[in-house]
Amino acid sequence: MPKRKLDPLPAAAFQIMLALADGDLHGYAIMRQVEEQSGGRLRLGPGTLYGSIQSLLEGNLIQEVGRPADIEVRSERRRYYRLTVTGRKMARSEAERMADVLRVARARRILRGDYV
Amino acid sequence: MSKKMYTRLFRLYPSRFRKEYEGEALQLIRDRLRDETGFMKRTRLFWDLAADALAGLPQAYRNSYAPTEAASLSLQTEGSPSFKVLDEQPLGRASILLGGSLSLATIVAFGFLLSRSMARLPVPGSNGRMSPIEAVVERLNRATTPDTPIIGPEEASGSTSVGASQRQPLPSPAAAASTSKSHAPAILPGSGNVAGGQNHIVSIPTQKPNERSLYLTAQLPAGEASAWRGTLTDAFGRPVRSAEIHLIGGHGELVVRTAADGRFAFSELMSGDYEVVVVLGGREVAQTKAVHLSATSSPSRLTLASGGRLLVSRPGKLP
Repeated sequence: MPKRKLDPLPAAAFQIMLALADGDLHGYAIMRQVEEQSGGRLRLGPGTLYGSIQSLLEGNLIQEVGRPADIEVRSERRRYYRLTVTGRKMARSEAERMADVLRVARARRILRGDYV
Repeated sequence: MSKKMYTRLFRLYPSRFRKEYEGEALQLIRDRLRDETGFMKRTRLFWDLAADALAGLPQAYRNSYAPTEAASLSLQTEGSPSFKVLDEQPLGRASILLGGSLSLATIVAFGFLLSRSMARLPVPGSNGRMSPIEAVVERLNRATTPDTPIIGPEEASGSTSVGASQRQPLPSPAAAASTSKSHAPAILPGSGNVAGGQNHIVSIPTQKPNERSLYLTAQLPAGEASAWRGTLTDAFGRPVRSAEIHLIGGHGELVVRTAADGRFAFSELMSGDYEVVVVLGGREVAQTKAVHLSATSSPSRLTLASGGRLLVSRPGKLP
């Protein structure tokens, strides 16, 4: 069942997976990371963010992890999330799918060569 | 203030989602309020929160919120069938779509087949078989013809001539009568008995006159039915394949298509005069004036000659 929710992969879920690719993050850090990597276009609110996180957890694409040891006590209430192996694979296949689309777009001369 | 507003909006979310993430969500709002100061950023933040609270709703309701222990348990019992999950799931959009499109495709395919079989009806005998309606009409027609020859069963089994071998024995009471009294055909009531060669051929009027007239008013062709076959070649004697041969006569138009070796066959054909037209690739390439066609044992040869002429050699003669 969770597969169907994430097929096709929603943009928010894909951005969260990309944000987690570098390391474990908590909710607010994910939101900031997504905002940065999307050039400020995508600002996830709590509803979208935690809805997507719940879907990804149910799809076993991310998992909740304990607080990293080097984080100060001030943020101890936060939950941290980590990309699973399955999630990394899925993010890669999604990125490849997008690369295919990009290739077609360039072949049709919609894009100039200075992208990617 | 925005926190209060968001808490109200948050009540729209499923209770399990709220239980799981309310603290986190409020923490996120606190973080953003702390980081995003200034009129523009605050306005943007409020707008974001309001839009997000509504945009996030569908996904929050799609999630199942199954506890992780249950998930691991269901993974362990994956081998055994379980209806637990299906029971709770409403019918998915994809399933409805699949079912709908499948039934639509079935209906379309059925309609297509139906219209194709209807389209073939006006070209009787073109595929070498009679349609059920034609078969019934044929039988009625034969039964009403007053001089239909009927052969006694013992003679019919031994004879292959007379051209009657194609016919089935008539299931009429007259046939039964001729079966029981075949040794004394001369005393059959109302029979104009004819002896044809070695076979006893007895013709009996089988139907009442008023029934007969009913069938006659339907203007069905009541002639000698026979087959006509042959080969279509070009001027150099090479067979012409997939050409349509149209026979246009008083009873309508019959069409067959030639095989790879140029052969064609009309299985049910009334004797009479026919125009023969050859159509290749949707174009009339040759035609003849009226040719008399009737039962023949030897196949005819159609030759496409120059100038759109069609030569017919050895057209069958009446036996």
